Amino acid sequence: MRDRHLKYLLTMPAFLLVTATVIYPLGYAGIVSFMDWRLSRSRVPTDFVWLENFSRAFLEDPSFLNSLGVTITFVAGSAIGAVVFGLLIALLLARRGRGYSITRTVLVLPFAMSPALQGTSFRFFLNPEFGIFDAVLDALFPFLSHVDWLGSSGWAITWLILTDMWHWGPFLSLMLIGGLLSIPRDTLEAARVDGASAWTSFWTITLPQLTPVLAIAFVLKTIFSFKMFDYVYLLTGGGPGESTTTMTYYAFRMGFTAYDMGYASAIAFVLALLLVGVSAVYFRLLFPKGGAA
Amino acid sequence: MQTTRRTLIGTLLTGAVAAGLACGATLANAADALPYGLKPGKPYAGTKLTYLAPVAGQYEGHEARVKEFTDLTGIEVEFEFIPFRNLLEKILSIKVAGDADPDLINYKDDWGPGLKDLFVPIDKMMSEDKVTLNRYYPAHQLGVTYDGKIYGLPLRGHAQLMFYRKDLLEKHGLRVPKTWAELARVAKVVKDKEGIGIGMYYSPKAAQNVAVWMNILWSNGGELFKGGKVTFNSPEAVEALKYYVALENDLKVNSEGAKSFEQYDGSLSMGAGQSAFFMGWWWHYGSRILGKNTKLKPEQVGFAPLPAFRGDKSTTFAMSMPTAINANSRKQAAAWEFLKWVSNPDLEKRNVIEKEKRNVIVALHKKNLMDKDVNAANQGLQMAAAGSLESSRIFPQLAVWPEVMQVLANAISDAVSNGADPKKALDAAAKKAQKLVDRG
Repeated sequence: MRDRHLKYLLTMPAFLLVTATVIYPLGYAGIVSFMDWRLSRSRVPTDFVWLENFSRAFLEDPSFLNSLGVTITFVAGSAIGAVVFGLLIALLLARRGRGYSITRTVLVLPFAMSPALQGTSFRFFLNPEFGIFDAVLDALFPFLSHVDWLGSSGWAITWLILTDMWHWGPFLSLMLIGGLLSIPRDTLEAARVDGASAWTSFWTITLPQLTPVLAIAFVLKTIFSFKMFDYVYLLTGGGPGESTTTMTYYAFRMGFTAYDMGYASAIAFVLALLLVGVSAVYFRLLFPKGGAA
Repeated sequence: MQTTRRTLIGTLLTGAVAAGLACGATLANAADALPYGLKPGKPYAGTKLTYLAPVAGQYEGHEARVKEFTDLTGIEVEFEFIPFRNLLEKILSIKVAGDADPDLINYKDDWGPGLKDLFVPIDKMMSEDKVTLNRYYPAHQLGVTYDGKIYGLPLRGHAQLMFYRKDLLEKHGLRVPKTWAELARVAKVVKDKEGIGIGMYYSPKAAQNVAVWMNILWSNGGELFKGGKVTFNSPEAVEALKYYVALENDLKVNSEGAKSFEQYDGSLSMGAGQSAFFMGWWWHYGSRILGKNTKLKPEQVGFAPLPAFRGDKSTTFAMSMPTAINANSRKQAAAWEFLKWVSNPDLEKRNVIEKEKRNVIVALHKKNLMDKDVNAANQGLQMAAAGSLESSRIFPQLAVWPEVMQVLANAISDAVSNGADPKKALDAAAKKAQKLVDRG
């Protein structure tokens, strides 16, 4: 009896913390998304408007639909890109030895750096007048020397994805190195003895055994990519035009530029629903009913 | 007879004593009288005020001198500085929370209509203490007045100017352009011969491209709104956007990177010697164009009013950053004392003349802008700004303006970067903006 009470008592601080910092704000945003709350008129929500904010988003606001498309493009590009980039690094560094350990430690640095600092730095790196990336790319590819990297829609979204890959790739590589090092070496050695090429070994032995780790890395990255805000805010401001305006950035704009908190909450809630959907797929894939992951 | 003499002496003595007392009282009052309409007798001594302001040399100058105010009134003031880009979010969070702190808030004038219920109207306090807005230019007066009430006093404000490389224009025998067409011609010559053009900016970030386009629009006879209707897709507006886009895509007179540049990239480019012209707020002159990390010297840089599009008269855009009293503050009377002090013209003048610790150029009082000492310390910049402010206008005073401006900024960026048709881009923006205006 006492044990039963004790377990609730011990989990209570964590429960209260999660309630205060996650459940309450989420619930409040959910309520606000059904209300009219324009900050220019009132400091508190006013009328209950049922689904008006949601219908406005899907039926009357092309900018919202654009932000949905941009978000999906970004998520696809950055999740696939970061996992592939991480896998390439992992394949290079999944070896035992002091030099490899030091390199793996250094790899954490991009992930440890603040996204604000990275966003600002990349903006300078890409500056056509004195940016280091711009100078290097101009030297390597002279035909691209007149490209304004953040001044065209295609390149702007590409650089958002590349910046995010630079941030996440090394971290994901650490996850994948762990997975690679746990693959039994005797299987690989047997394949080599049988004359399998490196590519065949990778494709038929390494990759299948790495799939669970890759799946976790991919889903984790997908969830984080949906929430992309920092680099959009710092690198492109959502432009050119609205070509890099993600849903989070658009929700921010509706809240803090249009002062429309009800509508901003509705957009944020659509994003939350998308994330719940992705998480559900993730759990279904990793923990199928009646089977182990 | 004796009685009369005694009475007369008595009267004289009484009069002398009374006169002496009156004189003493006047002298005592004179000693107590404080400058700038501050209340004598330190009625709010011991009060601690908090003041939210953006990071800028001007406010740092106020903070450095605030002890003078404390000595006069016994009121202490704690400054809270925040980067300008985060200022609106901070103010909105104060509004939502209904916080009594900070007691004073500095904000951008076009945010005012959406924030005004957070601020105390100060008309009554101003008339009681004989503080008037007449000391400022009309654009700055309008920037603090909504629905016929005054909500703050302008402490920071900017005029737009065209900065140019005086040395390069002289080298190639070119005159300072007075119209946009002349600017394009002169910039083309400089770009062909020196390889550097106009430090222009089209990024929608912070919507600064709207301000440049608006100057062309107004000078072309166009308007943003007329009688509650959006008119920024009129033929004049479309022509203005076509020209603004053509500078980059057809005439090719801008420096590299203009499509993704914000205003500060343009001024940094000029300061780094990569651009020969820059159009923007005058504060860039002191820190970006001639800052300690830039390549230029004052004798290389000239400044003039922005070019005109039609005829020879330009209508430029001006903005201000007023300081207002928080409507939830419990120390509003003391906050008004501070507002009187911090907005006084003498403090402003010292801030722009005393250059030992910081290079502040921003002045708003008419008399300071025309002041000999102020102009001598700043290469005549304030006199040029005064010329610009004479014919300046401000953003429309609508609560939805910040979002309308962002919609416009995106349309402009789309036209220059993605080749969107200017007419279609402005039509689509006007449709969105009209919805926002109608919604209120």
